[in-house]
Amino acid sequence: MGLFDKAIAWGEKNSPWIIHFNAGACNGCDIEVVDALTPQYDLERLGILQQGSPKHADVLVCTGAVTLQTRDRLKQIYDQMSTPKFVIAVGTCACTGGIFDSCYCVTGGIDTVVPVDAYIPGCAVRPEAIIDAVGKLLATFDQKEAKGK
Amino acid sequence: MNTEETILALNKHFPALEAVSNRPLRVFTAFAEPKAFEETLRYANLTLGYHKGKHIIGTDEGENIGLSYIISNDEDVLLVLRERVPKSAPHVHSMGELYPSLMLHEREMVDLFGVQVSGLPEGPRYPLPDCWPDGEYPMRKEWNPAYFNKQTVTYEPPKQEDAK
Repeated sequence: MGLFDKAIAWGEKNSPWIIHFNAGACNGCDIEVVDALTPQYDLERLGILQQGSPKHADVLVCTGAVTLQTRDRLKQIYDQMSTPKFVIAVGTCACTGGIFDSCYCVTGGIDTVVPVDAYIPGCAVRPEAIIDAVGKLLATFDQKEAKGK
Repeated sequence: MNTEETILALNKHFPALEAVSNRPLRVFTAFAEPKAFEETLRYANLTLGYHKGKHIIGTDEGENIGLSYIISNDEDVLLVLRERVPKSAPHVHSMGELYPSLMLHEREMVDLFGVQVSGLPEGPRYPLPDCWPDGEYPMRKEWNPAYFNKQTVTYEPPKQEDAK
């Protein structure tokens, strides 16, 4: 790993940027994600910033079960992210499809479309659980970076 | 217009509807034929003051499709008017002129039950995804989600010989 790669890895580990994608959620988990980012819980104090473009993001935060309408969009967004990239499934629906699983227009959880690194079950997920999952994900960054190279 | 006044007015003009109330602020009617139904809905809007379109509920009843239109007035009385259309040729007229808010639910009737709604403006498919195959209506009871291939987005029921 060259000096430049080391600098990028150091930045990703200490300030991962996230992009939030709703694959078909009821908005309950989305509100909790926003709650985790905004001043009450303030994930930004840990250097975690939300980005609007997948090209600038390291972590894809997904909520909701994947529907037929969002399946291809989710794959496109994942493909646009640069490696190493990480995916967090937020909420029971994102983990397994939840109560919407086997519905006629739902393909299931996020891992039916893209590989998932962290699952956060809950309906809706508590912000503390999101922060805990992000902390655990940061601890695995070194391993994933090694695999990504 | 309160619940009792609504029932009196409806039973006076449309006795076949047999309007009743078994809960406070609720008025239910029997199923009507499409033509009589439209006349009743127009009367409820223009004369009785039920100018708020709340919801449309579709039900699969075997040979027919039942449609329950829920409308309301300023006194929060919910009036449930019902009509029944044959499943072989389900067709109704759009009530968007009287109740613009019901047009969204009429689109759901089109996608989920296959009811043809004349007078509905053209627009994108709603609420099913854009890739959904034509002629498949997932809220009908004969439609089995187990035969729907989500990868290819095609409905593949077993043939008669396979079923035997």
